[in-house]
Amino acid sequence: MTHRPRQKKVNKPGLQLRLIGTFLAISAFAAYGQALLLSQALVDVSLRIQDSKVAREVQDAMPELLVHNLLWTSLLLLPLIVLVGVHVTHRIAGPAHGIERYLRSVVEQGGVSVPCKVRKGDELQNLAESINRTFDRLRQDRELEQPTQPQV
Amino acid sequence: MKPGYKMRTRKLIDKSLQLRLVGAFVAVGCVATLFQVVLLNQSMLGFAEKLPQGGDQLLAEAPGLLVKSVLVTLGLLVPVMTLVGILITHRIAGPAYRMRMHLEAIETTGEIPGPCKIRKGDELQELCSLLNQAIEVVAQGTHTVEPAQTVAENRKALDSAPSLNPSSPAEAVQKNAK
Repeated sequence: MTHRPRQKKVNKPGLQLRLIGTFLAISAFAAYGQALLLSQALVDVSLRIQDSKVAREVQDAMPELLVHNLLWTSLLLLPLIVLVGVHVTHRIAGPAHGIERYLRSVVEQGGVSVPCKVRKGDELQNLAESINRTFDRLRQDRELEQPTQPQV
Repeated sequence: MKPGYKMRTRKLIDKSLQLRLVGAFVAVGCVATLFQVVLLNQSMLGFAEKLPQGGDQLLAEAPGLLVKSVLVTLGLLVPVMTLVGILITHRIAGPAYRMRMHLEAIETTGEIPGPCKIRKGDELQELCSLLNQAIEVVAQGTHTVEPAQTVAENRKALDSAPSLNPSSPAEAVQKNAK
């Protein structure tokens, strides 16, 4: 079966935002940590430069260099990370939303009419398969236990 | 944590799901690190060119500096990101695994051992609650019909009911007409 690409990218805002927040925190931690490490290393290099005037110039330029880089990082990298985060979390939030919708329809209709399906490549495939197998078993049990209607 | 819950000892429950997400975390961290390195390298080159003296020394030391800082960052960051990733993905993989186990228990025994419960603070709470409701709905027949209620017992009950046991077809027609 072919599936159309999902139009709605944020299906479970709570779950997705929490995961995207983690992505952002990790990338910010990595980028800013790296910037601090490099600036520290540059200060060390400047201390080794014989000419004190040049060394001072390097040290003076450091804050501006750092701010400039961190601004570029924030402007370019963070939106990119948010997009990647939405795409990655969608593979969990999408099927979770799909399974929830399916279960809601089972509850509202009072029974199972079609099996639960999850897109190929999405997460939670195993859960959807387990749901189908269990519902099949319950339906079979119910059919076996249901009394035969006597003919009047 | 609720008193009834023990700490999960197994951290990698659904390896494929968790490792894929951890991989994404590590990849994002590495991209951020390398992006920062490229930016700083670029700025440093521009700055060294502008310097009247000492620029050569700065340029000569730049590759070593970059490699060292990248190695330190990745050496520290990759294990931290892996641990954080496992802990975070555990909140998704854990309840998904719990629901699967619950479903498998029903599938194997045919009995519903009670509602599926997941830990407070875990993800997929709504999914779990809907799953419990749906199981109840699908299994309703199984649990409302008494097992002792067999076909023979139903027939006996019908036979004893006068309205459904007319002595003759004519009487049945008469009763229906009333």
